[in-house]
Amino acid sequence: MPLIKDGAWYEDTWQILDDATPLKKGDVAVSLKRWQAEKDALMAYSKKAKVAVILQSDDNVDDLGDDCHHLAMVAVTLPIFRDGRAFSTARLLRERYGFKGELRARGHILQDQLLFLSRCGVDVVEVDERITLASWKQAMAELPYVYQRGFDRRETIMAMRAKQATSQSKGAKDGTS
Amino acid sequence: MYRYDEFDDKMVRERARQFRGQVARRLQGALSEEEFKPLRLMNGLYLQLHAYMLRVAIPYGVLSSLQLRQLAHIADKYDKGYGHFTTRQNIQYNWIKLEETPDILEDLADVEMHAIQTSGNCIRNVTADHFAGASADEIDDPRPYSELIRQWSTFHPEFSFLPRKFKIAVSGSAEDRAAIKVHDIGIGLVRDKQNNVALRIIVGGGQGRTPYIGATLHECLPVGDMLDYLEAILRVYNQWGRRDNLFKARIKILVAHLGAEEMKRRVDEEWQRIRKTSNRAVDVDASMARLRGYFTPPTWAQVSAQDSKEFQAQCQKDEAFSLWVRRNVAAHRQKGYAIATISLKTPGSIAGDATSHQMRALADLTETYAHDEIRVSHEQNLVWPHVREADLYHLWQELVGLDLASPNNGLITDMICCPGMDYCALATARSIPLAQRLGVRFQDIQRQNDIGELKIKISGCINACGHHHVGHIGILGVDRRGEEYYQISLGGHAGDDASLGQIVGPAFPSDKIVDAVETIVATYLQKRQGKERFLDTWRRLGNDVFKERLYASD
Amino acid sequence: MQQRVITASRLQDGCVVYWRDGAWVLFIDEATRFTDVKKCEGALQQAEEAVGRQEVVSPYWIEVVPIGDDEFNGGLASHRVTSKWVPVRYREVIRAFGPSVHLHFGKQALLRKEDT
Repeated sequence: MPLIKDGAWYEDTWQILDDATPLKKGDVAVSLKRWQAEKDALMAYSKKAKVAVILQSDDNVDDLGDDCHHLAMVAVTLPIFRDGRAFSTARLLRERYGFKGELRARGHILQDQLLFLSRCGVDVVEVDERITLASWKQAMAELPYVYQRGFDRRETIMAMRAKQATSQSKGAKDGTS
Repeated sequence: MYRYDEFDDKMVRERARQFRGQVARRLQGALSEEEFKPLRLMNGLYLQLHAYMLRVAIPYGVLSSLQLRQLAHIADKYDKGYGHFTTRQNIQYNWIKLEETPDILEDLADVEMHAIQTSGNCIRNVTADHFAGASADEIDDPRPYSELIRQWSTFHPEFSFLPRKFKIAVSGSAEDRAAIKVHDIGIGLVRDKQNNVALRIIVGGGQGRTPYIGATLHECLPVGDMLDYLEAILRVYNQWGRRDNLFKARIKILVAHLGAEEMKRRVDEEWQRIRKTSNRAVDVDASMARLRGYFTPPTWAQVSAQDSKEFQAQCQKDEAFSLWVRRNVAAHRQKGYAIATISLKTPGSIAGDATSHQMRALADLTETYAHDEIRVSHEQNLVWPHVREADLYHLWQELVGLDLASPNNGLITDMICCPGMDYCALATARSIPLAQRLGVRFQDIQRQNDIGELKIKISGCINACGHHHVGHIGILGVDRRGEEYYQISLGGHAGDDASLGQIVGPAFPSDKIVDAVETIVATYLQKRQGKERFLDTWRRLGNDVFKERLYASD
Repeated sequence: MQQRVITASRLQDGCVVYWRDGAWVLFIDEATRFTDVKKCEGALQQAEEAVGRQEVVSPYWIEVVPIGDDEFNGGLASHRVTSKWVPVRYREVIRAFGPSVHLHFGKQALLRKEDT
């Protein structure tokens, strides 16, 4: 399925390997189970090509943990759009483990979830044919403000209010407002 | 009360616009029903038996006269001239068209209201004590806490696709009027050793198919940690709550499965990790300081000795008024003021329903006499939190004219009742007609007062919207080969000493259930000692004696 | 004699509708009745295609029985409507005619039997 990153179509270079297919060449994405089982081989392989792990929704992010720093990409999966574990998994990868690589969301994803995924740290999304670059852009602009801090570090409404209050009280002191 | 600023206003307007787009995509076929359903539910829109039903949020139950008038307007313009106030302090409209819903959301936004997250597997509308800011036994006002939670949970990027719905309730008083032990998270305001306000956090209570009394995860959490701690609970739940079985997906099942201790360990671990990150939820103390400013008490009127005398005289002169005052008026912390409960339970009427005419009339009275504030209680009544004692007689007369003056607060006809199979797509039996029949049977007010405090709660299916698990007499409607049957449980209670009702025996057919309740009441009256309430007698005797009487002829 | 009709909720407004020869009608008496189970299943498949055309939500079949003009079975007594056919299940009676607690709302308002 097509991928979008930063509002543009994005070319996929990854081969998704099942747990039995041997490593040959090129960038490979493997399951968490395979990563854990063949960690040494995959680490060695990552010297010549990129390695990624695909987390299924019932994989526990703590089982990958700091290993994420050896990976160029981690994908989180929504087997159905209602399964919201990917949101926590993404956020924990970014915030708890400080993962800096590509964080991809894949599976059944609705336009209406793109902004939340991005706020949780996802930077590449796999989309179906209903999502266009225009609808991606529209979805990402859907909330004018936010009430919560996310990985995107958007300024919260609460922080904006605090600023307003400070500038107002300053203004009152200076006699300018 | 809380007022939207430019930010809140923009958020609800943008939401209406977004939903208009989602409805258009659905009607064009770009969204399947399966995909659209959670999106419409997160805007409070259900598909019920006859039409769509819209559930509008009334955060922690607080309404101004302007808002109540707008609810009446919506009832007339988009529905059939009435609305139904629910146990979650919301209002529901039963005859809504999908196509018109975005317009309704815009009309709501005009008066700082919305239907955001009133359904769906997300954090729902926050409920609180309907006597907040008025009751004499309050430790701290629960409304600023509730409002902060409302904002923090609105469009939460991480917690909008939870395993199941998630309900939070806040109580600020010694007496729990918000049923915090039967919520996914219940927050009780307490005092710590330094006499600062702190939070008691109860997790994993709930009704539904498998009822549980919640477990206390934290006895005394500093207020500044509230949102971090909630985030920790929600994250543990989002990761570990079951998603394979709809009926086992609530947090109560996770807590029961892990045990309260292990749940606490996981939450505390998560909480400590959140505290270490630089990205903590929100500056709670700063937000609370701002929000408290919205909930300062109104400017009280001067009350003269003459006023007080006159009120006493009115009570003495008019027996019906005096009855109403004794049942429906509660002590206010301010001298010369009172808290008045407006009964939406006139025997024979539909519990929680109000017509647009009643809403408008109440809005006018609220504006003139009640500091422009009216509340919805989780027991499906309305409340004026601040009225002068001196105005009570006039207000009562007005309520009599509106058929809203039933002096039955807390009595047997003050029933909680879900919409049941007359409206609800999930229901297995009707509940409203049963409540009506019980109301008529027990309508004699002398008799009601003799029976005393007795709470009947009726649900039309196992989902327990009618709170039957915590009814002193709980009634659950079931389907027996196409016939409506009703199962009775006794001894449930929502409050500080919360308990779950115990099923008394086989279910009764529709034509036997009112008599069965009569038998229970008669048994209680015969067995009670001194001033025992029904619940006290039941707690002393248990189900056996009631069972014997109920099934004697079998 | 029990027969089947196909029912659904109309997408735009949630109104209860019944299948009649490839279209949707408002009243249960006007619905196509099936005595042949196979024919009913076939029609249901057709009705399900209407879901894809954004006409209705979740069609299914129900059982109906005939009633005489002056007859009311237990459930229907509350509604007092002039319908020749009524659903067997009470839930469907409520869908067909309206809530039993608001006799002036729902389809019963249009099917009201005059009190005699």
